[in-house]
Amino acid sequence: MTFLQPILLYALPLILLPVLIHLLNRLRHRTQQWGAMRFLVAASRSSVNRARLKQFLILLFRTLAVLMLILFLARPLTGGWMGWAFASAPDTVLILLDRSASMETRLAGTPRSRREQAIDLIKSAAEPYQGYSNFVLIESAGSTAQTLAQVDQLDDHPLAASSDTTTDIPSLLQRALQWLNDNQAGTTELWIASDLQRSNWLPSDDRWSSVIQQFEGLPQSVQFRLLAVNEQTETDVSLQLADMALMERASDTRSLRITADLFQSLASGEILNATRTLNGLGSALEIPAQANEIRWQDTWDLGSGRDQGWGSLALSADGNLRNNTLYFVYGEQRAHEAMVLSDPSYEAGVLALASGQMGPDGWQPSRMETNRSPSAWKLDRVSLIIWQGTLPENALASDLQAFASSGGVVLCLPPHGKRNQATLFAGARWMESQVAAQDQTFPLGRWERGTGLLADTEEGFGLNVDQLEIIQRKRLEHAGKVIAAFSDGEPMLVQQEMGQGSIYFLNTLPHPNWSSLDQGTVLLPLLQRARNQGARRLEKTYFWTCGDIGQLELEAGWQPIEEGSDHSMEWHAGIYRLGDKLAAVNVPDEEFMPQLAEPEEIRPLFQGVSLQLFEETSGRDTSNLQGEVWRVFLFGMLIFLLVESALMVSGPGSTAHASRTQRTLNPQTKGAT
Amino acid sequence: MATQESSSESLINPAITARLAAQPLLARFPMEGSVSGMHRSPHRGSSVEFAEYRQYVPGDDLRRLDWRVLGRTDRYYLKEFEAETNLRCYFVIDCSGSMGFTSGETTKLDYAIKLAAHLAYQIIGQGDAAGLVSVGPKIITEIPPKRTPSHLQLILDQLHEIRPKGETGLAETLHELAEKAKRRALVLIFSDCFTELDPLVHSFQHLRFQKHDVGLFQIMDPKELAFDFDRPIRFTDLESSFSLVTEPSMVRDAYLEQLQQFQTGLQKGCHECNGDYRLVLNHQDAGQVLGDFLVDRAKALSIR
Repeated sequence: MTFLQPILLYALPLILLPVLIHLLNRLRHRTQQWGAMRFLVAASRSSVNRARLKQFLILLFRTLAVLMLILFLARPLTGGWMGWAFASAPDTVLILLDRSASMETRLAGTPRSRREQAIDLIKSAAEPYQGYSNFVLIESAGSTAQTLAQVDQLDDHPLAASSDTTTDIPSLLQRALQWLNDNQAGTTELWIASDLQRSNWLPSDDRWSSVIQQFEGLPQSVQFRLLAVNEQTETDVSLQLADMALMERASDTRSLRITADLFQSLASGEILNATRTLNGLGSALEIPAQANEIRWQDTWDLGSGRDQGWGSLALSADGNLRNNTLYFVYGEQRAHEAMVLSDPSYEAGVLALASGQMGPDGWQPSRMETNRSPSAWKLDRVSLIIWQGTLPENALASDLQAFASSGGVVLCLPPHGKRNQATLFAGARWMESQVAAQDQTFPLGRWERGTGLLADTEEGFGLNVDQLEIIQRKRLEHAGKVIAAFSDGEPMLVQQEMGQGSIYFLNTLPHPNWSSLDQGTVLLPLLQRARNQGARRLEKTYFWTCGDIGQLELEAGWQPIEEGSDHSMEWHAGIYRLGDKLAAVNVPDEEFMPQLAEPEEIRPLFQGVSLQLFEETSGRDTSNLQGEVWRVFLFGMLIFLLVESALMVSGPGSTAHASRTQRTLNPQTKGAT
Repeated sequence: MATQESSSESLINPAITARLAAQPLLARFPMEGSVSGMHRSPHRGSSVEFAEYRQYVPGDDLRRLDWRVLGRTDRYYLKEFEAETNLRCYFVIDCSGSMGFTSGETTKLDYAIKLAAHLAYQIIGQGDAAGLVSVGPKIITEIPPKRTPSHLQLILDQLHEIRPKGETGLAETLHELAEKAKRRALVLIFSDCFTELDPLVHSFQHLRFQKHDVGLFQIMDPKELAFDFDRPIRFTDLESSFSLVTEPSMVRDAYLEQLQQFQTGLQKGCHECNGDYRLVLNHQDAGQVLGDFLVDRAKALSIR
């Protein structure tokens, strides 16, 4: 137990004071000559046992009252989040901190955010464990676990600072599980501090059951303690970019149409003041806000001349500053093309044709390159490289991977020949060829219809992937994500993400001896989509979501466009610049869904493991929290004193009962005749 | 001797005697005295108080025949009148050790002596006879009832000598007194009655059986009734060397229960034998207590 005035605990022996007084009182007896001895002797014989029990109880309650008084004066930090300190110190305490933007909402009536409140409570709870337990911080925005020498470091630890990211609690738990598996920790407590935002907790997510089962299966004792910082907050208005369109106007002028969604936690019906910044120039504007959720649209004239630019729209300060500003960048759309790297063959022609584009003179097939030396390639406008043949090695492999990392797409198709290939590229290797039995094909099992190269069209029509007739395929050893697979489980199309882009492996060829891909119903949309996907490497402006930016980009050296800002693209929304490229980093969509999950929804998620849930809904600061605990002890003291007095006035030996008896003993001056 | 006289006379408070002078002490039942007095007698006599008509039997004095009745009815009737006689009163004072207790200035025994002295004064003053029996473990003093004024002095002197000591033999003494006193008498007992209840009640019944009029002054100290001590006390018995250390608050309830039980039994025992019971505290005004006592008895007689 933690005390704010521990010195008062030296007064604990004072609880023996009532006993001492009682004993001294007994020793200090005086002598009284007494006539009515016969009644006294009879009385002490008959009632001494009951009276002694009552005396003992009275003494006990007096002692407890003194104990409560001392504990009350010592200001114990107990109950609620602090009450954890009652347990014995675990070997490791994993602090899982929700650093999402919603945690920056200020608590009602205070300048403190939910995150700051959570950190304070964690520090207080960790105080008694200092020196006994290892503290490890796993926060939602970063990717590494950080060991804390002192929990006080949380105050100014960069990994516990505010961020514009979102939190995925199941994946946070998976990281904690991974850490536990890697580090062989002993008894462990997981302290989760979060605001229970539903879009962060995803209570219906499938991962919950598996991750909790894995925790359950751990050899060591693991306890979860959840601090729900879901108390009342200040009113908040958030602004989210819904759409941005660059429109060409007559006489070479352009305009920008911004569509934004505005959410208010409390409909004010007032006009909100906002600041628009366009390429560094600010101007004030007003947004009418009649309802809780409104969609607002405005068109801004950009004039002529500038290829690209950036801007932001910011609301005035409210309960949470993190969701008040939307950022955007705009720029010119660039033309892009595909390149086929293959020996001249039937399938190479099919690939070039299918990855071509409509030019001024009709349909133009893609450029075909037989020279496999990178120096010969002109990649200025290339967004897709189709590689058919033995997988590239060494410098060539590195160049292709760099191409993909910069946002381009590489599609690898197998070489002819039936033997295994030794070359390993992007974690994949071609194995032996397989030919279907006579008059048989390899039937397709499943493919990703939601997103990706084989997704259904926007109108909802599916590609005819299942009607492909594949009679020959090359087995693939890979480490990527399967986009389409045969019904026997063998992959057909595999995606290996690489930086900003991807490398795909398709294990059959558009050749009559291999498959019916050359008919184009699947191949054409597949290649066109791959080309569009790869166009990212040619763009100069990017829209990114905070917390969802690839490692390569983070390490590329992007700088905030506002001079003097120390914001990092990893954690903070804003406009960032790298050379002539511009990026608008916005707060993730999840953080615009303010609904909180109820504790009743959260508890079942942790079924099978020990969970203590604490809702921090009481205090606005820690001293208030302690106040709650004082009251418990004060109340306890009063209860004990009340019980003690009730014992004193009731039952045997009480004055009330005695006065009743005595009333009948009053002398009668009137004689009985 | 002069000192002793003055001190024994100091037992009598003129203010109290003046207050009591108007109201004589009356017996509630017929008494057998040796001379005529103000109390009813079981015999018929020559007072002015008509009692009854009785049929003439041979041997009756013809002078007492009612001639008017004879003239009207031809029947021989005698007209009888109440006889009035004097009263013999025994003062029985318990001198056991417990009577020496007081929480104030006056011990229970002193108070008893005070009451007895004033009543003796009153009785001899109204021409009745007063005697004294003081009881310790056995009878200490016994003065037979006489009605001479000098006898009062003897009684007062004896009262002055009484000291509390030892256990009480009250019940045995009363039995003895019931047998000794041949004629009907008024027996006034001054005691705290801290003895076995049954023998005591039997002794009252014995007295009543012998047609004596029993009056009991149970004298107690307020502390004995309230038992309001607040810290551990060693209680030492006034009648023996026994002592007991106890926490009064622990036993108070049971003590009061025991006391109440005893008191109820004592009152019931007194009522059963038509005794005149009254509980008095040693701090009460003696004049008031005695005045009430006399008035109550007179009232009881007038109702009868």
